[in-house]
Amino acid sequence: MDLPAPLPDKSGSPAAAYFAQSYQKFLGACALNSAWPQRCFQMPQGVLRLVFAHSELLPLLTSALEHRVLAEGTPASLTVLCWDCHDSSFGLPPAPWQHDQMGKENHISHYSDGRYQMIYQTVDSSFSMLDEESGLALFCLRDHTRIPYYETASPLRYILNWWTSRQDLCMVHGAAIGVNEQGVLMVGRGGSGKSTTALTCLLSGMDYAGDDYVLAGTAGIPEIHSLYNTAKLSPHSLGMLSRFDTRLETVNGIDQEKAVVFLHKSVPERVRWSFKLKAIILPEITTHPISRLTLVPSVSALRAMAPSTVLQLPGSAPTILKKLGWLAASVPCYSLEIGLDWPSIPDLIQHVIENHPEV
Amino acid sequence: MTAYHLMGDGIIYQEMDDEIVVINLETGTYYQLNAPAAWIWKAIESQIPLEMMPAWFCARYNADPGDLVSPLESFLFQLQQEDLIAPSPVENEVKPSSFQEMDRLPYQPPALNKFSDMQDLLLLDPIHEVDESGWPNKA
Repeated sequence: MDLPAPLPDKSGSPAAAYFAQSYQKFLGACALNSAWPQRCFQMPQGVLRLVFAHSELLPLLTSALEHRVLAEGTPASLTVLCWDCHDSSFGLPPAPWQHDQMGKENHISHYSDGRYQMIYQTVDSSFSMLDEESGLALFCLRDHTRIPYYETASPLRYILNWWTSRQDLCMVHGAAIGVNEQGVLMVGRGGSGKSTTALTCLLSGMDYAGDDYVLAGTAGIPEIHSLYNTAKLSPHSLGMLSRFDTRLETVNGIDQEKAVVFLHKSVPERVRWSFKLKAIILPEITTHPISRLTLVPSVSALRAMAPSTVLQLPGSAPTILKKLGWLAASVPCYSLEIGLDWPSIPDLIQHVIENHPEV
Repeated sequence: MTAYHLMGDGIIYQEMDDEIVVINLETGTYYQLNAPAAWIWKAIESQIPLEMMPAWFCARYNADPGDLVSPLESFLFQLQQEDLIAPSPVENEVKPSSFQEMDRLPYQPPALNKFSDMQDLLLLDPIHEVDESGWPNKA
């Protein structure tokens, strides 16, 4: 199989050495198997190619991206080599960094520079590395049988985020729904009602581009692009959606805090690649009898989306914050007080989409 | 004379609608500075000494410089308490005559709104060991 190799790096940096050593570990893991499945996806950033040393990893890391699948062998802008090191022979090389070099969320800032980005996630024992100049990334799991549901729902999110750093794109923590190739971005802290609102709109017949992370264009005409076709639902919300479609496939059981649904499998016609952004909405669950939309300053939208985005996606925080500032200033922003009449919310949102002037 | 500087590492900010959103990447705390507070933030950015800040502020807001000393000191103390600024020596001489004249706005006190609801997004850093396979282990 034709595998890309890292471009030479004569800097002698620890990051370069560690990347090269880890790449050799991936090759070692590949040698244990006779076939290395691949998938290609048309992402907003370019063509993404995933290569797996073990076939067991493939469904875990590709189901959420399946709505963007391309023919195998499509020339790729970024290739991600994926393996797990259940067999410790091909685990990661011994880490050269010390405890005090690990940043918050274990972003290894010491080994992140213009070319390399690296992050350890101790909670799910995953390691992500990007060599931007080579167009090559590495993703290693300690044990794929213990992959957490959120990694399957939003796979490779650190690598995909770093991939946007030199483009007019920005990953955003938010949900996006729309109609007729136009839509809104919903932002706010966890529990603000983004997922519930997105689900309600989906059930009413609107289109869907994501409920946790989406990609925003940050130049020219504002656009929202879907990354993952997953929805993370509470048991109550899952019950609502089950009435809509009984073919739902969940990653984990409904007795978990959240169930993950692959919407591409059940309602593929509703999962959109992208749409023009008409407004940013800040939902808030209330006990008011009537739901209400109110125009708010752009700074409110920036405050709603920036902290959860930059704190959950380490790397290039100042650049991300600047891009989010552009985004918040590019379209009208509304607060949405979700009242007891929540079935009326899709009409409210549709009114915003269809009646706002072109941006 | 006394000046202040913005704390660098881990503090990012973005201006919008004459206000400023500040995020502390180390603690997960974030802030929104109202327009008068954002104006003072710019003074700090420009290394305006404390003694000249009333004049700087009055170039933008309709107020008596003598009435500003206490609210300014209180606000600057608040920024220091949040580890957003720190005192530093004055490096460049700044003259009030260099402050651009503009239509002055009605006075509002500077306000720093603090939000701590994102701190749980940051993992505590319990790592103390790295095992032989390279995986960090929690203590």
